[in-house]
Parts: sequence; C-alpha cells; structure tokens
Amino acid sequence: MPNLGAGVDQHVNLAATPTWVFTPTPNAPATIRLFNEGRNTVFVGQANVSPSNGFPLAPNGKIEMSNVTQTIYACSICQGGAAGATTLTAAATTAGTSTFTVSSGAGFAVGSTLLLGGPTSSEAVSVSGLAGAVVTTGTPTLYDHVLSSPVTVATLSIGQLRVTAGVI
Amino acid sequence: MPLAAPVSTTAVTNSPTVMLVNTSAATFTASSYNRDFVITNGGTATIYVGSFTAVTSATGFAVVPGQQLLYQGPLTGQNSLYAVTAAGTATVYVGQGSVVSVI
Repeated sequence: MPNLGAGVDQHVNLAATPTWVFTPTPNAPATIRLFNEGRNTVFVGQANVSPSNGFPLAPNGKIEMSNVTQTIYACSICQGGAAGATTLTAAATTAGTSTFTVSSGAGFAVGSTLLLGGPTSSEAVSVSGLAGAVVTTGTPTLYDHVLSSPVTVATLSIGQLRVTAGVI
Repeated sequence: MPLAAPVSTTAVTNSPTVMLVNTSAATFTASSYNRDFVITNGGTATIYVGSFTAVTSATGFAVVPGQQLLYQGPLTGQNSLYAVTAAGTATVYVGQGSVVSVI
C-alpha cells in the first residue's frame, strides 16, 4: 500500500489471512480512522489477527484512535464447510507449520482457502500445494492445532477497509 | 448537565477479561443498543482488545495507557468484547459514544 500522505484515503481489500493496513511513522501524527466500507464484518488487530481474536468492525462501522503505537493488520471473515468431513491427521501442528496431513484431500484444490481448527482457534490458510492428503500452505500457520482439528473448504466474505491516517 | 458515568468499569488482567457482553442482558444498555462506544484505558498497562476469549497481547488491537478507542457502529452477532494485558492490571472504562434520544 503506498503512503499517499496524511488524510488521503486508502482502500484495502482484506484477505482471510492478516492483511497489513497501517504502520505508524516517525514525524507524522499517529492517528488513524478505519471505516468498514464493505458488507461484511472485518477484524482488526496485530500481525496474527484472526476472526477469533480481533476487534470486530461491522459494516459501516468506524474506529478512530490517536497515538497509535502498533502496526495494524485486519482480515476478512470466512465460513467453513460442514465440520467432521475432514480432519487433521498424522500429527498436531504447531504455529509456523507449512505442511500438514488431512484425512482426505478430496474437494481441496491448489489456490483454494481452507479453514483450519476449531471455533476459537480457527485460521484461514491458502493451499499452495496438494499431494494426496498432504496440504502445503502459502504462508505458515499462525497457531497450534490439535490432532483431529476440522479442516474444511472456506467460503470467503471479503471485506474492504478505508484507511485514513494522519488526521482525525 | 452532569457527566454520565461509564457504562462499565473493568479491571483487565493478563487473562482475557470481558468488558462488554453482547446479549439481551448486556451491561451496555438494557435495550440492546449495543453500538457506539468509547473504550478508555485508565491504567498503566497497554490493553489489547478483541472479540473472544482467544484474544492475546500478540493479536488484539492495542490501546495504550491514557488512550481511548472510539468505535462507531454496532456489535454484530455474538461479538462480545474482551481485553487482555501483557502483564499487570489496567482499569478500563467503557462509555457510550452517542446519545440515545429515540430508540
């Protein structure tokens, strides 16, 4: 995202994975306004933000804040398919893993997005490689996942955020 | 006109602490007007705000001591608000961000 100067709106389409939206810079007012101009709730937080731990920003909702000290990320929501059809097998995974094994790779495809984990620890991962039941993700996972965690194809509800930095 | 008291005052610790419950028995108002609020960090520790008990100091939206977060919009779905500190306790005030004249 280019830095267009204070007060210039920037529009960010949010992926299901954490998407960078703002970094406070020296010698500039660290104020920010985030406006959800999409039709879906988005979640705002830090680099590991997910729908299970971020701040919910409803459609047409707005956050204003001064003295921002953190780099801000946000993500869209996604809904998983029917639970129980596919689960994490072979081993639990730890944060930073890029490969895991599922009970069946049927219905998965390279380029699709999967929802990995239970309701309070779920995260979206993009599939960059698939060999039978072994899934390779485009980016490392953010969280640990226990054995038998559900893995389903995710339906994305993309959100768009208007970011206005430098003025409130 | 006297200043309104905060809707809730919460001692946020390093374990996720609920600040605002989005239910029919909400602490925000009894009329389910669960929107438009100000979260003020009145403590000395940064708080990290999120929507579930899974919020951590590495994931939540940071509000530094003395700072406030102004939110205009509704709380949707089952999104209650939680906060956590990295260490220590912070007193957090949640107040209304708009005047409810007619609902």
